[in-house]
Amino acid sequence: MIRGAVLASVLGKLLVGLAAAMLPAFAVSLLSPGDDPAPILQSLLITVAAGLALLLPARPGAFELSLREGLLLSLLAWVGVCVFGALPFYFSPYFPTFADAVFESTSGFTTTGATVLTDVEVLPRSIQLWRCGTHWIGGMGILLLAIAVLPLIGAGGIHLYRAEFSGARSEKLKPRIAETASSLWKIYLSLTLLEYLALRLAGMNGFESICHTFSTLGTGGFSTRAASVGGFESPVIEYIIVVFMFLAGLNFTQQYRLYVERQPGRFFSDPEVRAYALFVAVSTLLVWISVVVQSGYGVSHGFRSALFVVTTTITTTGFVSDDYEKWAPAPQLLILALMVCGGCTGSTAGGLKVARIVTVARALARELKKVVERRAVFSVRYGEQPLPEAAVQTALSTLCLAVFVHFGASMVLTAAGLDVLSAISAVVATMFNVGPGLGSVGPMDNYNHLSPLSKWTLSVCMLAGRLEFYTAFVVLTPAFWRK
Amino acid sequence: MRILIAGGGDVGFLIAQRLIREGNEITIVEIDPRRCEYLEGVLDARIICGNAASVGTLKKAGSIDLDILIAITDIDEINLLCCLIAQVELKATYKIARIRTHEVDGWRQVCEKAGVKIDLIIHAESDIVDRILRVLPLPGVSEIFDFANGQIRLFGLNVEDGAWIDGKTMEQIQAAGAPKNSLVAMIFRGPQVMIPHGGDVVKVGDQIYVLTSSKQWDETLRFLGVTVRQKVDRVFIVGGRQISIRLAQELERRDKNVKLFEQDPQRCEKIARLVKRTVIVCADGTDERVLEEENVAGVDAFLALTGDDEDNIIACLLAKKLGNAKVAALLNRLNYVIMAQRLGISTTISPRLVTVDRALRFVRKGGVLSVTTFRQEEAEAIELIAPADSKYVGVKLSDLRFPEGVLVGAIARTSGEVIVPRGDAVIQPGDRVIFFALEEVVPKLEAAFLREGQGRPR
Repeated sequence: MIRGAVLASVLGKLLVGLAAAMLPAFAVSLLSPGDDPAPILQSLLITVAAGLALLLPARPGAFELSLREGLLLSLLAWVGVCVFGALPFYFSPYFPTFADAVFESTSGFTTTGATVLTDVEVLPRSIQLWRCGTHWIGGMGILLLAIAVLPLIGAGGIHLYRAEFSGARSEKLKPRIAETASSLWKIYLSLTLLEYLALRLAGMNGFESICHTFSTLGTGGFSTRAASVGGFESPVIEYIIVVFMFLAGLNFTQQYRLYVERQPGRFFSDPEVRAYALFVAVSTLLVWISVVVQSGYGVSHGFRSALFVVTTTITTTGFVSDDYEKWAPAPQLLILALMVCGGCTGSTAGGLKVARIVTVARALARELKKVVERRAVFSVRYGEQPLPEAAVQTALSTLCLAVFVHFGASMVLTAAGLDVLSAISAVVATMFNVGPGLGSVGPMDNYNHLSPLSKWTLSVCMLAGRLEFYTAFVVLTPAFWRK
Repeated sequence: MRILIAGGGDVGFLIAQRLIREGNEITIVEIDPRRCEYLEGVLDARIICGNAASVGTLKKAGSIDLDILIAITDIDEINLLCCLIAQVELKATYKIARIRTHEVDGWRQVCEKAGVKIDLIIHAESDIVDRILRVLPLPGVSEIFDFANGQIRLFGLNVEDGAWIDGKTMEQIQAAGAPKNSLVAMIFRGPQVMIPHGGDVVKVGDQIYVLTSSKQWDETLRFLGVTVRQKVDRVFIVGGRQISIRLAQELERRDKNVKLFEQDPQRCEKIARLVKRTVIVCADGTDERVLEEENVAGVDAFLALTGDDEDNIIACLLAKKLGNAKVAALLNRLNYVIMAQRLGISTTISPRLVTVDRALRFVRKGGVLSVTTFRQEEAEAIELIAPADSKYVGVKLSDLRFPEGVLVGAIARTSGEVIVPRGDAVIQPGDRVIFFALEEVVPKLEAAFLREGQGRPR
């Protein structure tokens, strides 16, 4: 059963919240010289009006969300936020079409960081702040925020939480879902404050520190500079951002155990945390060797570039410090693989997630063993715990779904005239919420030259990837709507 | 409060649902993974899948300071072990355990000697026996509850065909000369529950709850047309489980003639050794022929207490068809309660609700003296002592704005006076007040009367 009043009421509240989130950008537009407050103000008013129009007539009373409502609401909320969040872009003169504005906004909220802008430095500060702010809001999750602050979502909130927050299958941090959500948001806020202070100390100005902090912790990748983080030409800034990107790609539940519950044993014995750290270390080592030996970098510069690129890619942030397309082919392919891998479950990173990769690898190893020992029974282990068969199935089917979606979307892009490498990497980079890809959408390029159809397709890919495919597609199945 | 519930069955679910709504942090340990998945979806609680008697699982579940442990799994041993672990490893402030064995007193002593402090042992069977014995002579009356040390009584009554109150409004009933201190406090109609106002009508098939002072008990029953059976002599009990045996023993003590139906010959042998005068019939008590042969027509009370809800309902329907007995059915599944009442089985006994009541009463803070739950989760009667600083104290009821769905049922003054208040009555500090409240407003009501930090009655 799906109750329209319930959906309208929650969606309305979300939109009003979104409008409230535009207030800082509006304030900036009033304060900074030469900035035009009109686009933000118009968007703000439209969003509030739409929110109230949904909210006021709906009288849902007390309710608990059902599973179907939760899934539908997750999708509608994300689509709604991406569309209304696009308004400030659309009303400003820098985004010629609605497709461009929605692409940019979706890229922001899904923390992809792919842009259609050829030059970001011409943007006024208000738009800059809104762009990076969308990363920050979308990073930890709009629904998780709603659960934390809207008292009306009770037990049914678990459906929203699971639809949006990967790895929510694992145990809740706190008995109450609202408290779980606010604990996670508190960690996120603390990291935000820390990074801002660190960047300030490293000499970045206040405005750019805020914007880059937002982009880093949401693992987004929008920057205020055309040359991205590379534009600061400061190794210290690069290292600071590497640290916070790494943290943003770590499971926040596990981080809570480390910082708040002070259970370092539980944190360091988590198989995903270990695998994630291992992936980063090994990939950095390989890229380092390649850039030093094959591309002639100095040892320390090579290390910094390698570490930055590996971290920005595996956490699916998409900041740029160096043009990796000038490197040898092997590290480029490794970068593509890291995009697919992504960060930890329960982090702000995109990608398939380290835990799924580990699960799939273990499951494959078991299948191979089964061929030899046909009568034996094996269970797939994940750390110390045996994984339930259902979790193995989910990981495998998510992988398959990603492959199908990827192929379909790439077909659309190539049909619109894009070359194969660019098309494949563009879909990977958007679907896994990374940002820059290879070829004509590489780290030094942008998505401006794509056709409107391609932009819409990639917007859908970004959303599908952020909601980890299932939530996005289950609503389209006939079974979902069957009475 | 942080509360750990061991066992996520129906009882655990109901307790958790209430306590969550009242703002407590609940963790549930449940062994069945599929049940865990279900609970995750419907309760805003932390669900831990595992054995409640495992030290590791409990430590994981109760890692942060625990206020109350409620051990209500189906298995006594697990509940006791759970309390033991909670005492040694979790430092739980209070522990509640459900025990089903008839050796409950023995266990109480053992725990005491071993130094395991269990603050409340819930033994639903003994409560149920009491409840059944009270309503046996009253046809149509489903249950009786006492408040204010027995000064006030509440009883459930099924409105049957031909009852004179059928079709009457509350005002008309009052006008017909209702005893002074009596009141229709709640009306259950199908799945609905109402706290009635003057214009609300009573209909056939309703179950109404009537509050009265004990002094006017007989008068109230007579007024409503309930004829008290002068003698309850012959009683049939179907099913030979522990509760049937206890009941048979109690009835023997009161010189009743009891026939107990049990199909399993070995079980019959065993029961025969435990009872004295009761006749054990080794036959199916849900079989029409058997009942007829045993002369069900002349029976005064017919109690279906097998472990099978459907059997109990069928047996009661047969008994009603074949005779004129007061029937009562034991129902484990709570969603059968409404259906059974519609079928004319006025008295239903649910061990689960009894357990929920006992646990809730303990968990609620401060001056709450008793909690009675009606049906699954719809309404409650709450008895509490009015504190001096409540905003509801010292003001005329007609000037108070209570939340929707709350009724002040009765007030027992410290002087011993009992009143069913009208609008001009005033709650005074120290009064025992009996409220009726729809479930969703209970937290609001309690917040108005109780504060954190009030001691739990020990």
